[in-house]
Amino acid sequence: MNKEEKIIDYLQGEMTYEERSKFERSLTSDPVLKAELEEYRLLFDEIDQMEISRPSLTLKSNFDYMLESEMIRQDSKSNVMTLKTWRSAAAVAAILVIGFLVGQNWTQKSVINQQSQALVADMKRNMKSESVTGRIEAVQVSQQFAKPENEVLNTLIETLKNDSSPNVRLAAAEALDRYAAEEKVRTALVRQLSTEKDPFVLIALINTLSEQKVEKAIDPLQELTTAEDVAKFIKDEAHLGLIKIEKI
Amino acid sequence: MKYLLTTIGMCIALAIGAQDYNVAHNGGKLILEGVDNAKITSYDGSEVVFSAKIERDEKKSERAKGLKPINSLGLDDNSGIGLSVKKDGDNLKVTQIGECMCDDDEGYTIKLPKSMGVDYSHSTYDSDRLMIEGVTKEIVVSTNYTNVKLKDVTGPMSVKTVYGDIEATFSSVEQNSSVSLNSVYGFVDAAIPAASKAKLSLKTPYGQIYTDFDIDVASTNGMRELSDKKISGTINSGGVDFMIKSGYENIYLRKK
Repeated sequence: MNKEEKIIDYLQGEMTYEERSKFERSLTSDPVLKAELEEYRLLFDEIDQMEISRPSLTLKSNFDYMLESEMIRQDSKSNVMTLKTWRSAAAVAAILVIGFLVGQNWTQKSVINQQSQALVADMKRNMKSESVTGRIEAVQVSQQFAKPENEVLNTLIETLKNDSSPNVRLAAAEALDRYAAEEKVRTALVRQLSTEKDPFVLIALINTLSEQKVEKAIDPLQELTTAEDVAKFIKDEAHLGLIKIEKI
Repeated sequence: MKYLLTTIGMCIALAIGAQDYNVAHNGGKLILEGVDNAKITSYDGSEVVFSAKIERDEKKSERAKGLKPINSLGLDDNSGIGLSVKKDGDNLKVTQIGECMCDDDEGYTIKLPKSMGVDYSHSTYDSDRLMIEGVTKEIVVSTNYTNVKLKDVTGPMSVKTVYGDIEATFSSVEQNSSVSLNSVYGFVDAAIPAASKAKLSLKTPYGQIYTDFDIDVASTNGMRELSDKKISGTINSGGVDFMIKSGYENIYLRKK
């Protein structure tokens, strides 16, 4: 692993405890490395804050219009380099430079994207595994993402809904617990509450939803407490969940 | 005296008939649904052997003479010991038909070839224990009330039970796929070799975690998360995912 990869891994929190402490030790002794780390950190922060701005349609048509009129003027005026044309040449050069810089940022970002995309691909492939423990392992991969990635959440939700093994659905429910602040995740968990049949998965869902005080869960929880075909211990957990949400 | 004992022995053997049922099978999984008090061991052989001491209720069998018990799925007892045994693709699927014909203290004893994994599920009160010994292929267990005992296992496995306790002794920790042991209201006790490599995740919201391993606790930005309810970390510099969770009881992770 070269120095840059190490820095990226460190900033993304992908190092093991040992690698991390070793890296931090080398930071104190190597000022150059430390400076480089700071540069990368700035870059990462910038990437995080950067929003892709698209040129609006009017801007584009204005630009086209300007270009056209400029071309007509150029034709009429002969090919002498006036101050004005110099100025537009400078503007073009500036645009090129800016484009280049942005492009560099993008390649940096794409390195990071590539890594997480590889993880996502890995996760999705293992999700199709025949073996239950293999699929549970795929669910565990989701723990490596610092932030909830859309595709990761979708895969987890899909698994919670459709996996044939209750053991895998349980693992998915527990993995989603980390992301329970997301609206999409809450909706999926609440929905699963009314369709799930496995008692253990139900208890996990009730725990997560009640700890997060998800009010949307109140109705399905109340249904569980009065349903006829539900085991007593699940009704108890549902009661407990209602108490936690409503702070009675 | 000897004669007397033999006579008594013979009488018992007549009253409680021990019966076997064999099926040749290799690879895949042995899927068991609702099989009471099962004791599953792997052995060097190419047949799955089911045995049970059958207790016959004389009155019942008088009325049921010439009839077969069936279940709601339309499966029937094709083994003669109260089990429906069918091939299901690569797997062998076994469903208990109705109440256990077996002696409660004995349950069903099942021997399976080393090439086979186990997928066991049980949802009623009728089975208070499951024992799996020496199985090194994938083990999947899902029960509500059954206590689960695992002996000389290696993983990969996923065990979950609502009310049961889980006790597991590993002969080694296989590194190719995950191990997870989950109980809601029971304790989980796992003994693994001291040199095992694993990435641990131990959780018990209302219980206590006990261990004699040195766990390297994971850190984010140099900060270590220390909690007595939830521990993530590695032993022997990390390895396969090894997850233990109990909702309300203690977790014990010990060196074997």
